[in-house]
Amino acid sequence: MKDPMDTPEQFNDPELLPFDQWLNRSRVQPPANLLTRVRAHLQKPSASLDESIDQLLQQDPDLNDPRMVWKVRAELANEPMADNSSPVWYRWLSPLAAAATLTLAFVSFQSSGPRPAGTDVSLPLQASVESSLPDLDSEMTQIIALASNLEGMSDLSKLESVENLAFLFD
Amino acid sequence: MEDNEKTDSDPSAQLMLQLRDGDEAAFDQIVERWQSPLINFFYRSLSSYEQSEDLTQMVFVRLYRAAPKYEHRARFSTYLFQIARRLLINEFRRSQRKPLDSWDPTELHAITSGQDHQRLTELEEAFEQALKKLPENHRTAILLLKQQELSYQEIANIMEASESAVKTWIFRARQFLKQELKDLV
Repeated sequence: MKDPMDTPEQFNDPELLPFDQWLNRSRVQPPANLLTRVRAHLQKPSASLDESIDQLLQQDPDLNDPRMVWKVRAELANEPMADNSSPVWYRWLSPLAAAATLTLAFVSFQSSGPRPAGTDVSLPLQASVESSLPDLDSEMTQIIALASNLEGMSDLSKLESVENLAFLFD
Repeated sequence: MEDNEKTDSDPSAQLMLQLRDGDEAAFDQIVERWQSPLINFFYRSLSSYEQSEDLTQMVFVRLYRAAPKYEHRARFSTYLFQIARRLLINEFRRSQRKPLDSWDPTELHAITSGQDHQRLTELEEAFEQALKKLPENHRTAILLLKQQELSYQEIANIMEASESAVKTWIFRARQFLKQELKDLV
């Protein structure tokens, strides 16, 4: 049996006859001087390969972003922009939160593992931190010690205050 | 000589061979013969007379520059519409890349100026809108079949697809058009 799609008549259904007639009508006429214009175009020397490559590599003006300078300047001034709008204490919130989370995770890890009875579990540097920073409470001492461990610090003299913790996370 | 024998049924291919051999007048005849089919093909695809005119001109420029290497391997119309379709696709890509805020209002005006300003009947308007909604390959296939009256094989060659794919595109296009125009036709 012959495939009905093989015959163009298959696409001559009467429903679309007005459409086909419209499509077939030449609605536009070419300009009278088309040939002259083509000839004029051909008179121009054709671009050499080098020129073509140059054109290809040229910047596309459509991709220009008129706000780019502003964006770059804003990026350069990024820190002041962000910090000016925040209270000073907010700067320390992130490192403190990170330290607190790590402490909780560490303590949780320690308490979940097997532990011999009567063993005093403490952070390796906690003792030295306690001795060098006697004014801090025990929780803060633990945080500082943990942070020191993470950063591999040996000099704890900088950790005189909570504010100094921030430099560990720079 | 062999080329000449093969081009008996394809006079435009014969003209192209003459152009290749240095007969400048042959080019004039090619432009004369094909400018109207080309501009109408572009116009139905783009709905902009100015763009259609530019692309038609560009096809002839490409054709002229390709003439020194021309060989008669397929029908001339296949060769010509292959160039035309590539330019058309480039044009679509170019216009899609263009950010909206860089549109020049004079360009928008150009789309509805000149011959585009002819008053369309409601039916013609509906035809045009329905045609615009088709995917590029469906629209091109139906234009080549109905407007240019090319064979399926030729359309398949132009669109670098199989004949069955072309038939499917045309079938789907017509189904879509029937659905779109059912209340009007």
